[in-house]
Amino acid sequence: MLDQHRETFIQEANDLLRELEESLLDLEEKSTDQELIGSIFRALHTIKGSGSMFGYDKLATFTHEIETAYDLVRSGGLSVTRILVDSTLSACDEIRGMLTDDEDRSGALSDAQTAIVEGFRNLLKNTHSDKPSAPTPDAVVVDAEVNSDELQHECTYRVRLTPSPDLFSNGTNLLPLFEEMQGLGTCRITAQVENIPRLQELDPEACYTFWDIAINTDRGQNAIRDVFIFVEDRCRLEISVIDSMEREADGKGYLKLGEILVQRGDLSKDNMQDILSQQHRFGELATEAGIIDHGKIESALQEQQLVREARDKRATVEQASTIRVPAERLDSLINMVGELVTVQSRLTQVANSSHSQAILQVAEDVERLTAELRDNTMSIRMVPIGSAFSRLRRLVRDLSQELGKEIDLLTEGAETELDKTVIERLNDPLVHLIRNSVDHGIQNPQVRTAAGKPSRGTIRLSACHSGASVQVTVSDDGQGLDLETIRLKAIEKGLIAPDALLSEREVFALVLLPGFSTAQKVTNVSGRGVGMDVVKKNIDSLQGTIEISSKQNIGTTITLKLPLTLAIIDGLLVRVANEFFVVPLTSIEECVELKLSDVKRASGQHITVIRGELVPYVRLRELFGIDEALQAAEQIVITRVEGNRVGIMVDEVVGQHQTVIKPLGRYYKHINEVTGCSILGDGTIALILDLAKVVKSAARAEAANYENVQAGSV
Amino acid sequence: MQSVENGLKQNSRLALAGELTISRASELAASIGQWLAEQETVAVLDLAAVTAADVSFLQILCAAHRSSLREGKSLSVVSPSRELLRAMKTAGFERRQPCTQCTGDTCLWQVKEGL
Repeated sequence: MLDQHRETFIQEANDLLRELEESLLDLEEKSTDQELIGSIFRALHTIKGSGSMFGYDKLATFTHEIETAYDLVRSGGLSVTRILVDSTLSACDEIRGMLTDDEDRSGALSDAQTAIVEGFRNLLKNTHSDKPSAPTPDAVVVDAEVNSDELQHECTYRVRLTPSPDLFSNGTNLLPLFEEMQGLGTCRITAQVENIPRLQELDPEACYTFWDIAINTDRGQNAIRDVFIFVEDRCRLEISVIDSMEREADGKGYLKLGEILVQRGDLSKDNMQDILSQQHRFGELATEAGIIDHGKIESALQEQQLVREARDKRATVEQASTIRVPAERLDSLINMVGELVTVQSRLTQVANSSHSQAILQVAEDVERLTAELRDNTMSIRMVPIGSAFSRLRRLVRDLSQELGKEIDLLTEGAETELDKTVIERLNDPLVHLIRNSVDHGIQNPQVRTAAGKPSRGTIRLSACHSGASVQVTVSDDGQGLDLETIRLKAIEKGLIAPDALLSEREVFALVLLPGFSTAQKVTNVSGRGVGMDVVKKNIDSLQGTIEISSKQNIGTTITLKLPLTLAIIDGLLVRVANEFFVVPLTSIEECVELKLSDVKRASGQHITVIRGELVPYVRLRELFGIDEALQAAEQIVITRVEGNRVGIMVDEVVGQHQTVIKPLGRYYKHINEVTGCSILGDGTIALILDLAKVVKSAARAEAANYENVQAGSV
Repeated sequence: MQSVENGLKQNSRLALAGELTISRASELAASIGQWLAEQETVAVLDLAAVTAADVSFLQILCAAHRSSLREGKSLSVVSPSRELLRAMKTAGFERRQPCTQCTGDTCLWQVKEGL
């Protein structure tokens, strides 16, 4: 039981560390952002607290030292420096290490850890000698714990500040105090000006105004009192709690306008009853009747609005709560939904042939529900791609520091959602691409300046939806790819013939071949020639495509196109004899009919002419060895595979088919041309084609055939 | 700091400048009162050059406006400076509805949507 909790703790701690790193990197740019500092402190505090709860004493002691420093940062006693951020980042790495090291949870700190702790202590020592009045870390920690306790008690307060007329006589200016109030939380201030006389009767140095303030804060009543502490003896200050989470939980709606006014003593109960007996809007009536000043109504309205907003905010926070579910459970859910979809389409078929109105009705309902269930289940697996992006920020920062380069990583579309498995498998390729950009793409600041570019390089990482797929691009403003170097290298490695004529795209595609690296020297970062082909392999396995474009001295852009999910596919169902196949819809361009006479005219070659353009085609019948007489007319599904138009010849195009992909099982692993299968309504299996592989193996068969023919004719 | 005497008194327009705070409250109330008395129907306060204001000045504005209403004059403020608007907002003088003593949309503190 404990192990399960511990596992949850480790997961959460890792999440916190990731957030922590994000915040640290942000802090480097916005070193005075109190919100960031606060979130860093809270993350450390939580790691420490729950760590010691689960017996990670070493981790707790270690984290405490860092937390101490951030508490001081929070209170303004220590400023954010590069050293601080650097040490904290390495501390994060150590914490991560301690989380995985389950054996040694309460031993002594390692040398590296001690060094980090010493570093933090030195930082603190320096500030102490500078500012003798700075609070001792221990005292501050206690304070912080009180604060975080209070965090849960966010309340809305009503404050009425009634200054005595002589408030201004000692030069008091209230505006800074109001500004301070705004700093405590969301705050609505209304000045009540009804007592201000005409100019002739005005004593310019007296205060005629009083204030109604509605404030929503988690800092407690005393914090509000503290704001007005210097004017306390010249003001009447009334503070009351008007709304809180507990009150809301009691199910009470907030007070009506009239009730607020009565509660504040601005209106008598009798007057309210009088007004309410008329069927009009309360505010209008009350002022029309001259019973009450507009200012009072205004402040009451503001109060209502503030409470409403605070309640809405709490509601959204509650809605945003999440639960953790192991991925396997999700996978089995998806699998079951897949089965359900299959059974449902069988039901529909049976219902259609039964001619029973009652069964048809039920079948339709089941169909609708199943579709909704399927969509919902799929959306559970969708995760914003930002989680993959955030790791890369750290990578760019560390690498560029190591290489003495200045690089900014800009990300766009982090909210773009993708299937969880796609994101997981996208991590490695993205790391490779970013490493390449940092190492080979972006030059040193000196070189960049000499080339007339800003000394800081930029890597742009963006994601967006395009149809049923997601496009992820990594682009840098570095030196770009050199076509000639790539060509020479490819010739040297025997990848292309010396006299081969290649288009720009084809040359760039060479980079994706195994063992290809043009780096002059092999560095730690990249350049072993394992990067790009790994990327290519990973993206291929995701059914995605990769495209490179580059301009020398301007930069390189790598575009990945990935399917939204690997669990479901939008395809075109086709039939050859009695076999069914699914062709992925994303690569289909059109469907055309092919007559037997056309085939004969091409003298046996698998080529046809479509609107004047020669298009080669693959005969599924031959590829899958289906023996059955040809039909008089067949259909060709024209697809685009790796940039070329290729036809897939079938007997019949059945129609569009959205289906849950089922794996074929390991006995069929060696079959490349098929990525999985789908089960049709009547229980028939339809194979899902991997078009690139289908075309490749057809080309191979054709070439072998051609050689045989040649050999035979000699 | 500029004094009111340095401000432009042109037709029915009075321009005030500088820090309009409690230390000048008496002086400001007196000069505005006198100027307002000289105007016949229309009085315009130009507050573009105000660099600071506090509650005492906002009270003076409100009082002057109340006087003008009583005397059947129209007092309005043109191009209030950013600092003045900030003071108004911070001190909670902004109104969505005109105050009871004002008629129509003459209230100095009424915030019009979109402005």
